[in-house]
Amino acid sequence: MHLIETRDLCYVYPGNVTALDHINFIVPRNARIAVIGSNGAGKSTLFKHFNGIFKPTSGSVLVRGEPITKQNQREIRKFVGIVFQNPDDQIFSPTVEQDVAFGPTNLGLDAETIEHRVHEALHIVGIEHLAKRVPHHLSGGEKKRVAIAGVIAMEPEVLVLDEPTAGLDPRGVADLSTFINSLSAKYGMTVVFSTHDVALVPEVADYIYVMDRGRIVASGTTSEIFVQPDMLKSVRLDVPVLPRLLKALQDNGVEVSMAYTYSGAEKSLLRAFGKRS
Amino acid sequence: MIETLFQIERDAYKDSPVHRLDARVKIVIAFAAIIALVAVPYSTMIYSVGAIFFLFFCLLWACTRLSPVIYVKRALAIIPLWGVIIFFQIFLKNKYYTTYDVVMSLPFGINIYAQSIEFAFILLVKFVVCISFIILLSSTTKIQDILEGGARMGLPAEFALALGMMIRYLFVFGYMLRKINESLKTKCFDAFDRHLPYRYRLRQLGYTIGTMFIRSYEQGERVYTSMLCRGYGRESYLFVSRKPLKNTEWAFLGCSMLFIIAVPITFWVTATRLI
Repeated sequence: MHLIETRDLCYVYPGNVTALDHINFIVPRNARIAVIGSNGAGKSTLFKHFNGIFKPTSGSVLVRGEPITKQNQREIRKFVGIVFQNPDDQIFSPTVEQDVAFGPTNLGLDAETIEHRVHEALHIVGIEHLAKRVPHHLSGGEKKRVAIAGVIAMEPEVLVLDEPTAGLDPRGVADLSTFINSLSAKYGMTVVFSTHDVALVPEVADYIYVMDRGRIVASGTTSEIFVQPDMLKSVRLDVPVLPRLLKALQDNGVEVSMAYTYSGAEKSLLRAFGKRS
Repeated sequence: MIETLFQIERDAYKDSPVHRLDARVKIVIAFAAIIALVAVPYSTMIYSVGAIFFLFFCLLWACTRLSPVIYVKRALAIIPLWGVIIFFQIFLKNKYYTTYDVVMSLPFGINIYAQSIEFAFILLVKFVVCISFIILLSSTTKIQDILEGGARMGLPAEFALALGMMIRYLFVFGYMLRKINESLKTKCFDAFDRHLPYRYRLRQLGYTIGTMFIRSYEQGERVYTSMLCRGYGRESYLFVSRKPLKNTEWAFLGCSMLFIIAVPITFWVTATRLI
């Protein structure tokens, strides 16, 4: 049984705009899944189906094997936490502490447990010092962390991040990548995220779905997806710089093995140039 | 206007003994002073009570280390609201006097009465002192602290949550408005530039206001969606952690309350005995 599964999911917006077209999507336990695609591909619309915000026009969404109903809606929203692209949409309380406490409060927890969860969530994202601050005094990266903490405080098993790197500086992106990996490795959380930043994907994802105009056009592991430059170009994406460079070296006769992450490419190049065995 | 909001916030973030007081202490003192002043009967007794309360306010303001100019500017900003109401009292008779002496007669049968002028002055004193305490509260307490203080004193959960969101998005839209203004300036648009046709300027301002409305509507939709994602329901409320008052705050609150209650009662008892 998968944590989340969509079967032939279709969604049509008012005005007859097809946003999702027969989507079959699977989220196994403890996976890190990237959904890549250009603007308007349907990534955010797909995510809003995972916890019942949107109802499918046709097809079905199963969470832990069960369809989403009005009765289990609250339980499912606790199970699947969604972090939206713009933190200003998600941070609506006057202070960071109160905002992070919003989810646990809605779960009906007592004050002591709420305080504990708030403290833990802020600790996980490394912003304990911001607890008493007001959101409009925070930077974009800090706001993003507050938004993530607000969802983590509900202790979801699946964390869905919609464009988590949007508006972050390179250091913010690096921190986020470490954070996503730690969520999976340390806390056993399943992470699904969407991005345009193809360079980030090999560092963070085990499995990739490529979306275009509401359809899934490809899916597979990093090595399966990033060997298809023509397919990626056809959906307005590209192969990350490192595998592209290694491919160019291979094509020019340099004996270098293919790698997708920074550390993998470093090892591969050092080996190729005889600097390390 | 929006810059005033940011300025009030900057002042509230400064440090002083009054700033450091718990919001509940300041809320109680401000509202106690207002209730005490409103409760004082409409007589010239209010001049003495008002003067003593104003001295108390001045003492507190001096402790805030904020410039008196800030206070004067904020008090004057409210003039259009209460100044007009007070001014018109001089033309009207009211229930507090039985006889009226005409000081000046104006066309169309309009008269200015001596008793109405006195009544207007009494109102003026009440308004000025009450508003002074509100300015003191808003200038030395962060908005979120006022809300938390209110929630700790029993403000209904529904109000606290709604007010909390209002505070949050007041600033979000403040920044949005600032960005729109910057964008208009970048494109050399000035609503007061007489070289530009009047209709054109009006239309552009209309577009700007319309954009703000649409963006606020869209923002509302997105926020509601994200609230649902975090389990928002009928029982949702704003979480406020427990925070007991310190002994010094209790002492200050006690002394202030004693003062606020004792002053009007003393004057009232004295005036009653004289009668």
